[in-house]
Amino acid sequence: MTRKKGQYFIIGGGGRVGYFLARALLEADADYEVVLLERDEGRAKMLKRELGDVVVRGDACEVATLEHVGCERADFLLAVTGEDEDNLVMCQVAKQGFRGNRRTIARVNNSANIKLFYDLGIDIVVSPTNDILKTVGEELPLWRVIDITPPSNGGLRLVEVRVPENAPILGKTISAMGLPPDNTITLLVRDKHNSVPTPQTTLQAADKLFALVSDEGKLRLERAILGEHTAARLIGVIEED
Amino acid sequence: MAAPDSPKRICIMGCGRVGAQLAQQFAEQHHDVRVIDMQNDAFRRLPDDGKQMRTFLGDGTDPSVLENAGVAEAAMFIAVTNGDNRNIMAAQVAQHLFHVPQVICRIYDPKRHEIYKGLGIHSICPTLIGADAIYFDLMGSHLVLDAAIDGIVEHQHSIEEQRQ
Repeated sequence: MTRKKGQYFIIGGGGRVGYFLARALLEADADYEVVLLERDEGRAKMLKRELGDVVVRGDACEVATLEHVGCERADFLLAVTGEDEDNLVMCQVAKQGFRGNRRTIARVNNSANIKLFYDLGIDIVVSPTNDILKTVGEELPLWRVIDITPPSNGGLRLVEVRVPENAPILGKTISAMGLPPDNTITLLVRDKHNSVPTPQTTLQAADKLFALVSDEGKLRLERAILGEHTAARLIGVIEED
Repeated sequence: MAAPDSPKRICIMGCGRVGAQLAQQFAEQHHDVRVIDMQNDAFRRLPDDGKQMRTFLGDGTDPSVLENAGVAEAAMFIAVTNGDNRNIMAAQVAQHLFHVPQVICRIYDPKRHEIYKGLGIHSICPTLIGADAIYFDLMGSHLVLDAAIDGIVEHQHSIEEQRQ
């Protein structure tokens, strides 16, 4: 088989995400080489009718399957099944079990797993749940601190939070939150007006903050701004609306 | 076993035959045994003689389920569901998120077992152990016993190293 010189993508999981991803990549660049791995025989047959030889029946978590499709020379492994554990294992097997270097990208369904997956060596973690929450957060005051970026090597990440009506921090200054020294509130959005706050800035209800925080800083931010509003109540907020 | 250990919290994920068996063995030694399974029905395998055992219904790869089961204070975490990947992920959650001192998981696939050894995940591969046992039994050799004992000794060494 002759191979083209373009980037080589292996997609694990032929559900809707895997299918549209394969199609989009094939349409994006004629030089891209794509393999879509699907474990279920019936589903694989159906995908084959649509996409042809790009589809290979096999379990992407199995070393033998990845070997068969030449994982060693792959540039990307995209793990997009509906099961977080399968996506994690497929990325780790593709990294640890084969020579060469490839970027691993995993879909996570439980957004609580985002940080864990980064810690376990996945290069890019995509959480549809978190993405939708972020988008909804633009429209609705969601009572939760939302991660905008994953933690960097220094442990700091960018987060976003809205200040509710009865926030414990109302009327107090930013310094009263007691954030760790290397943490900063980088941006304050008030009435569609952006500014860089100082430690003396007083917070008001409906303020939106972007902050660079550590794990500890995120907890303090949560306590100071959300107080009794926990992530659990979020469900109630959405259902009530 | 020599003098009984002081009671430890031992969390077992997966209440199949192996999980239930382990739960019973540890409970007999008066450890604080906690069993996690996704199906309520699975807990029927546990003895109902009032031994020290608590059950938790939920997906053991979900950090919040493990937190509820008190994995953060566990001395051991054992992942023995029927899914290799579930065991692998739960073991890593227990190790990296909850810092459980002793974590072990069952991986049926010998290749994945090998790969995760390289990633510092302690696992048992029943496929290799079973195949060896049958092979050596048929070949009329006692080597398997020696090999198994070697394996256990080696494991104990690595635990000692981890503790130091």
